Amino acid sequence: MNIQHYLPAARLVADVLPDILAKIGLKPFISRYVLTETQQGNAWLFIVLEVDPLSHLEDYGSAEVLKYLSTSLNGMPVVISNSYGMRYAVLLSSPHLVKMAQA
Amino acid sequence: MKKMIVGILLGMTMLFLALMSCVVPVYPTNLPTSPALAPVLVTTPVPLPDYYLVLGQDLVDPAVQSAQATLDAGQQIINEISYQATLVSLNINLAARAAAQATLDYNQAQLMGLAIRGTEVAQNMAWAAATQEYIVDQTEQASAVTATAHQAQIEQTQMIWNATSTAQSHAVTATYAAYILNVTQTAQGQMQLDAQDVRYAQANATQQAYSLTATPMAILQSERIQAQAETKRKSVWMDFVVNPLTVFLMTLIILVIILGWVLAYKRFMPVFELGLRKFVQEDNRPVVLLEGRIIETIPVPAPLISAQPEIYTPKLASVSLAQIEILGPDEPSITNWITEAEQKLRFDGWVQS
Repeated sequence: MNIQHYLPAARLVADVLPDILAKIGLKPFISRYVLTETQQGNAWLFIVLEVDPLSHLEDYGSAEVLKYLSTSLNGMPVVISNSYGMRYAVLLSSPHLVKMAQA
Repeated sequence: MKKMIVGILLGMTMLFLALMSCVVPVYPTNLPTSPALAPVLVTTPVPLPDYYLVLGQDLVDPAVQSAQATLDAGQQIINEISYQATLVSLNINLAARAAAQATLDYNQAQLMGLAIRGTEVAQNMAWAAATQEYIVDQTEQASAVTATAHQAQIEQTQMIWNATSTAQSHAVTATYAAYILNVTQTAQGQMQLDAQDVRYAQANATQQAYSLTATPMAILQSERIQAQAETKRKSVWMDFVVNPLTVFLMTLIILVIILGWVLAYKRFMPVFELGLRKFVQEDNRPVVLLEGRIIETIPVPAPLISAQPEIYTPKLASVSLAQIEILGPDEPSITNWITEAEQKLRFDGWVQS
């Protein structure tokens, strides 16, 4: 599928995500947005963070924050990736993706 | 770059000062003003004899030198007196030996005299026997008339001879007893001389032992030997323990200081950099210049995670300012990001149906 198809959704997430972070008390130190699509058809939007060194990094990756972000983005899966930098990964579209019930 | 150069220069300066503080000895700034100590500080050191070099500089004192000279002179006098006493004792011993030898010679001469006297007595006895035989022969050849007279004469002569022999025998016995007594006394004198020799040797050995243990020179020699042993022990201790340990500790301290500087630089440099990025606007609002963007740092309200999240819906006719990069999944960094995100996704319970 053409990656341009996911560009509006990516722009929407890029526009609202700083406000969402600010609402929960996190400074939106966002440096860049990267949109990509895998061979399986998963469209990922990576929000690269430049976090204040004095901030608590664990606040950005806590389960509550991720759940809050996912809910605010209408149920889009949001995960934190913190190897070689910190970034949010938002799965914009994925065919046949379901959430298993938590034990 | 300038900050790094300044930091390196400061570090080199501190390192140099640390090394100088380790190397340069620290002298007292307030020298003693006591007149007793002042000459010690300004006089030129005089080369010391080996004895004082061994004992250390604490003995380089005029009073100690005078005492040492007195001790040396007294020791020489004691040695001379001991030598003279030894000579006198030897002379006495030799005289005693000479006297004993003279006694022995006298006894020998007396023994010779007694032997001669014995020989004379034996000759007299032989003469008396020959006379007796001659008288008997004459008597046998005489007539029977004079037999009685001759017999009386013979008996008288026999009595005289017997008396003479008895007297001479008593004299010889007495002389021999005197000789034996004299010999015994000489042996006793010789034993006394031997005992005197033994006592003299014991006294000499005692005196030598005393001179080796109790004289001032012996004490000084013992102290010198102890000082040598202590100096050697201290030298070994300094060479093999103190100096290597000092070098090791100095090196360790320097490394710890350098490591502390590096850690402090890494820890506080971001803070310093963030401080440089912060500035205050005209309306007294603090902002931060980060990645080319100005971000306000006004404290935000308390987290609202407990509140119900608001679902954001697309806004029509809005112009997005965010720049979105579109990259392919084949780039190495993007591949790693995707792999990690998918792992986190599966970890959170999302699966492909």
